[in-house]
Parts: sequence; C-alpha cells; structure tokens
Amino acid sequence: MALLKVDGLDKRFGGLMALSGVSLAVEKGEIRGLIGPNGSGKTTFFNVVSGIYGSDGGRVEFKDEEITRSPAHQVNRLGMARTFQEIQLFYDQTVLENAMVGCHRLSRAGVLAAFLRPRWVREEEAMIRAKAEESLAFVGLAGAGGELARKIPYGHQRLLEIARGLAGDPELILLDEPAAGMNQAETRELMAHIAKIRERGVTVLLVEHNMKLVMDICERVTVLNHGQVIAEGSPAEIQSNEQVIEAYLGKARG
Amino acid sequence: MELVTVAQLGFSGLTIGCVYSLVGLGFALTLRATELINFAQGEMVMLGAFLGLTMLSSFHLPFLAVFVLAVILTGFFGILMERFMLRPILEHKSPLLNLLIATLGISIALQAVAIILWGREPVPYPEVFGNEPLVLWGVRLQALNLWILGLGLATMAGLHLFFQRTMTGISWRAASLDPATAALYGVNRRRNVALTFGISAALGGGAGVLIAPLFFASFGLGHAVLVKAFAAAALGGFGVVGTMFGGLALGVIETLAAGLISSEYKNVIMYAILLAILMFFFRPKTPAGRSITEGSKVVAGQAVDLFGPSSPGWFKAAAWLVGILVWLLIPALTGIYAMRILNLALIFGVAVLGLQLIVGYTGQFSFGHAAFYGIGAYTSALLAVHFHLPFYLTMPLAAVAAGLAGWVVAPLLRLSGHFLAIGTLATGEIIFLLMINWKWLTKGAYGLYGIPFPRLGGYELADDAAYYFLVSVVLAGVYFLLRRLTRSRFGRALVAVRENELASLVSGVRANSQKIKAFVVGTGCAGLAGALYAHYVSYINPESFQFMISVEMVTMVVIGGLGSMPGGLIGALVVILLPEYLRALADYRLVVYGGLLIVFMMFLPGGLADLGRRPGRWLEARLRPSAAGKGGAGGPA
Repeated sequence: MALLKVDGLDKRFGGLMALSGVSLAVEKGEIRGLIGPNGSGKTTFFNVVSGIYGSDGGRVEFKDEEITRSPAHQVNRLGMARTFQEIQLFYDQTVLENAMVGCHRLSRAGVLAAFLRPRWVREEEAMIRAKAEESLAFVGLAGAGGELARKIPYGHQRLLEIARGLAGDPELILLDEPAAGMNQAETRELMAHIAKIRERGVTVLLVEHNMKLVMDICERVTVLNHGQVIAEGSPAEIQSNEQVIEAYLGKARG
Repeated sequence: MELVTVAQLGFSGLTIGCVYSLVGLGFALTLRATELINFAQGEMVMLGAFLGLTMLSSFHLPFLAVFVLAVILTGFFGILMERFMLRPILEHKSPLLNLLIATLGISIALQAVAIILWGREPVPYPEVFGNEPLVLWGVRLQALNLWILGLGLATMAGLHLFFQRTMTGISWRAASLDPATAALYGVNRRRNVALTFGISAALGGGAGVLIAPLFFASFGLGHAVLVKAFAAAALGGFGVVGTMFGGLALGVIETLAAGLISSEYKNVIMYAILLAILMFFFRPKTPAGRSITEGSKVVAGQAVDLFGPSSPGWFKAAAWLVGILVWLLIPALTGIYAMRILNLALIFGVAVLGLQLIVGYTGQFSFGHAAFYGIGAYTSALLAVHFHLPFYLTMPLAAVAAGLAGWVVAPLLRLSGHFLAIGTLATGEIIFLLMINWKWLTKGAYGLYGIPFPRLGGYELADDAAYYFLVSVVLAGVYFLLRRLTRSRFGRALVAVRENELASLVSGVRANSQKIKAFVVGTGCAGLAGALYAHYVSYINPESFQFMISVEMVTMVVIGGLGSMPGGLIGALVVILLPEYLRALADYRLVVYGGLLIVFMMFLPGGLADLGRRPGRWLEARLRPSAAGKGGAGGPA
C-alpha cells in the first residue's frame, strides 16, 4: 500500500498550469527522486502536497487519509515533514530549540499546562528535549545545540532543517534540494545521512538537481516537465529515456 | 430625505475626501517605495496647517500663494526628515517595527514642537473667502469648499501627470516595482526614496492648508486624518489613481453616514469600513517565511540568567534576600508623589508584560492595547459601582472581559505586518469611541466617579503604600506565569511563529491558533492592569485609554527590549518615570521623549534589556571562561 498517493493533481497560477494531472505513488520505505528542468513544478508539487498551497483539482492521500485540503500544520501532524529549497529556520532560536519545535506533533502541552506545569508536562518537556537532542546527534550537530541557528555555517543549517523535520518522528520526509549550495564533501556526507534516514524507517521523497546524488541513492525516480509526469522508473531507465533527455537537452536535430 | 440634502452632503464629502486622498497618496507613495507606513505623515498635515496659518495671518499672503509655499516648505521638511532621521535606520536594515516606532517618535516630537510654537488650543483660520455661496440647483457651494476641491484635484492631476509623463516619475514607478533591477538601469535608489518622502510630505502639507480652514489648525489635526487617509490608500490598493478615488469615496461615505445615520457613530463606521477593506483585500495568501521583528529582539537563548541553575545557591539566596528587603523598604523611603508614579508604572508593567507576549514573543504588532486596558478598567469599575462586587472578583472578571474582547477581534491576526498595526489601531479607536458614545454604560467623556478602593480581608487598600504591595504582588504573579509560558512548548512555538511562520506551520504548529491564544492572554493582562488602575485612581474616563496610550505601551516594549520579560518591566518603569524626571523641561518634555525614541531605534534597537545584558556577558566571561569561549565563537552579538 502506498504511503503517499497523489492522483491527478492540478495547480494553476493565473493562466499558467504549474501542475497538470500529476499522479504518483510513493511506497513505504523507499527513497524516491523527483527531478525535472527548472520551472517544471517540483517545488510547487511539494508546496501543494505539504498543504502550503491549495490545489485546483486532484487528490492527495497520505497513510490512506485524504489530505488534499488539509492545512500545512495538519499534514505535519499526520507525520509528513519537509525542508525547503531556501532554508527556513527559526533564526533567533537556538539549534536545540529549532529541533524541539520539530517535536510539536508529538506533544500537547498548551497554555494552561504551561502555567501549572504538572508532572506530565515536565515529563513531556524531557521527552521533547531527548528527541531533539537525538535528532541533532543523528545529523551530527550534537555539539551545536546552544548556538543560535543564524550563527551556524550554511551546510549545518541545511542539516538542522532535516533534524527539525526528523525530530517529530515523521513517516515521510520531503527534501527540497538538500544539496543546493553544498560542496562535494558536504554532499557526500548528506548522501550518507539520507541513506540513514531510510534506515530509521522514514520514507524519503527528494527534489534534487545533483544528478549523481539522485542516481546513486534513489530506487525510483519520477520526472516532471511543464507540470506533467513524463517518466518514472529506475535511475537506469530514466537515464536512457528519450523524453527525459529531450526535456533536459532539447530535441536532437536530424 | 430630500435629494438636495444628499447632494449637499455629497459635495461636502467630496471636499473632505479630497484631503483624505492627498494625505493617503503620501502613505501610498512611501509604502510602495520603502514598504514603510509613515506614522509622521499626519504631522505633515499639521505642519502645513500651521505654516499656512502663519503665512495667512502674519504675512497676509493670498491663499493660492500660501498653498504653494506650504507644499514647498513641508516637502523640503520631508526630505530633511528622511535624510537625517529615517535614512540611518532604513539603511541599517532595521526591522519594520523599529522604523514604525521611529516615525511615531517623529510624530510625537513634531506635535510637541507645535504645542510650543502655536499652543494647545485649536486656532481658527482667518476668513479668506466670502460667506456668500454659489447656489447650483439648490445646492450651496461655498467658495472655500470650491477652492479646496479645485486645488486638491489640480494637485492630484499634476501628480498623475508627473508619474505618467516625466522620466523621474517613470523611473520612480520602475523602482517601486523592483528596486534592484531599476538600480541596474541607473535609478538612484537613495534619491528616489528622498523624493518619495519629499512628495509625500508636500502632499500632506498641502492637505493641511486645505483642511485647516474647515477644522482649525491644531496639534492633533494629523491624528484626526491619519487613519482615514490610510483607509483611502488601502481602498485604492495603494495606487495613485486608486487612492484619489478611495479618498473621495471615503469622504462622501463619511459625510453621508454623519448626516443620514449618526454623527456620533460616523467614525466608528469609518473604522469598520477600514477593517473590512483590510480583511477582504490585504490578508496574505501564503504564510511569511521571514520574521517581521527580525534583528531587533533580544535573543532568549543567549540570555545570561544569573538566577539560572548554574549560579551557586548562596548567590540566589542572597539576591532574593536583598530583593525582598528593597521591596519592603521602598514605601518607607519614597515620597507620596514618587510612590504614586511608581504605582502607575507597576500597573502599566502588568499591561506591558501582556503586550510583550503579543509583540515581542509572537511578533504581532498591536496598536490597540490601551483599549483592552480600558475594557478591564470599565468592567471592574462598573461591577464594583453597580453590583458592589468585591475587588478579588472584579479584577479577574476584568481580565476575562478584556481577554474575551481580544478573542473577538483576534481574526485580525490573519493580517500581517503594517496592516495588522493599522487594523489594531482602528480596533482600538472603535473601542475608544464606544467608551465615549455608550453614555448609558460609561457616562461617556464625563467618566466614572467613586470607584471604591479594593478591600481585602476587611482592610481597605486606600493609601499608596498598601496599593504598592497589592500591585507588585499581582505584577510578580503575572511575571511568574508569563515566564513559565514563554519557557514552555507553547512559548517555543510562539517564538517559532515570530521567527518564521512558514517553517512553524510545516513543523506542526497551528500558527493562527497560537497567535490568538497569545493575544487573548496578552489582552487579559491588559484587563488586569485596567482593574488595578481604575481602583487606584477611583475616577476613569476614556482619555486614559486612547491611541497615544497604546503607542506608549508599544514604546515601553521596544525600549525595554523585544522578546524579554524583564525588558518589558524596565521599559514600563523608564517610560513612566523618565517624563517625570523630564518635567523640569515642561513643554519640551515630549520633544525629548520623541527624540529618544528615534535615537533608540538608531543606536539601541535591542532595547535596554540588551544594554543590561552587556555587563552580564562580561561578568559571565569572567566567571565561566568555558561558557564564554563557546559564546564568543559566534562573533560579536
């Protein structure tokens, strides 16, 4: 049974069809790549699936529940985390606090609980801290917990965004160009992390321009062009697919 | 209703609407060029009005010359204001809130200067035109109104041509769409911004000369047209032509509402229209990925907590002991007058801690906090006067009433940034106007007398010392609870919403509900403070809950330091106590006060709490070298 099932998704911006009839199913436990030339709708797809944009047609199911119209916070609470192409952190909070906010969906203390601070709240707070510290350690940021998010290096900020996503024990994580702006060494390290994420039992759907990264770690790859799925298959199949080559390089003459 | 009456009202409406358009255009231009809402725009109107008055009555210049000169002079002033007060802050990449506070500082200082130069009383304009109206189909068209309409429309037409036909106007429009690209094509951004402030001020000044013959020249003239002019700009989508029509439409609606419905409620209707416009057209569709208070707040994670778990036990015990001794001794060592001021400062402290939660932690502007403070004061006072309920019941009920009112207006929190600032301002004004107009309940502007002192356990807290203990205990309780709140899962999520709403949403935080809860708790604190105030001074009237008090509360938060609970307290003490110590300066006091706001925004955007941290950081560096090494690695804070 597919963990994420998207059926005929449409998204319009004015007269532009950013997504038209996109269908795709991500199985539990896979690492799926989503590629396509610039402007093909990959990020829009992430924004619609994660509930930031509404859709203009089609259906999104996550864990057999329809989430087409669910707002972003509800999608996260069901167990879908994501990162952004342009890093979005809580810059004036510490690295640890960033990860702790990521545990929001696992906890429930509200205003009254904060005032009274009964035992269960203190236990919950300890749980949040433990989870956050564990996910920071997972991406290798264990020592940086007390630093401000704005002060750590760019590569670490990308990792922190992943750690924040993982802190809430999601079942699916959407990574939007995680390797953007990273050098080769950092990219290699990132690939190792992504492989480990799957070992934690978290399914990964990633958008990436670094073809080596995609072809090396994804079992299956889906290709978007002009808002439509033009191919889907194993990395080897994709690399030899005529339509894909055409989308990236243009039509060969003669 | 006769058609002639409607036509007559419509004509007056167009006249006044013309003025709203001119002032509103100033808002629209600055907003489009700099993304800033200039609160000092109202004072340009005031400046124009007084300059015009002086030229008319002292130099007896003809009206047309007065208008042109006022436009030129205020325009020049606008350029100076931009160059020496706003540019240093604008180019510092300061957060929106700081700029807003700086323009408020300018507004306060200019009003104070006007009081010094021209006095507090509204001054009528000399009669320039005859009283004999032109009668057209039964509608009386006064010469003055025709002049206003003519000059106003001519100015707007000129402005429109300037933007459509001249190279400067066209490049201005290009820069307002995309400053970076325009700069690549040689548009000088600095000169463009200076030009914008010049034109906006000039429009305001011209509007001042036009409106003053109708409403007299007074230091409060700017405030009277500020919100309506902004509404005109919002109605017109902040475009040039749109704002022109927006202003005219609002003017007509206003006079028709006053003439046909009720003159007392005309402003309530106007503000309600503004709120409707904001809610319908200016709600952001996608959440912001950027913090509006970015850069200005004190950073919670970096706070040096001398009372934290790491400081030794004896130090904590000693600090507590000294603190309690000082607390007990203050009434014995302080004079009656100083005690009174101190009590008022502490009462404000309760309200300001609540505002700190809303503005400093959640990042939501609120310029209507005083209105909720007023709701608390009236609730507690009315319950005590009419139903003889004891204070220990009326005070919590006041908090509940204010919090409930906060919940009712909470949908406003879907607005963001400046639009939220204007929205809360309008809400505060509506509540203020209801306090004045619901005479059956509040006795209107006369106010409520004979509010009893609190009785606790058979003892009447009538003297200042006793009240001091009551207020400080309540304040300590609020402080303690809010500190717990900000250090919880809930508080972390609030800061997350402030820092990056988009990221908070995808982390499972329901941003809207967080904002609403923070707003309700914050306004509840204001209600609590209101109750304390009402039973302390025993007489309240709506004056104590007007817009300027809301501004003062925001000032306290900003000067104290955004995102810091101790900062909120320090801010309340400084802002209440400082003017008292400046009392020797008499009328110059508010000039200094406004000036201080600007200086603060220029040099100490993190507020006093940030300043207070510097010795703390130094001390920490000496006491705990290991921790200091870690903190220092991040570079200068």
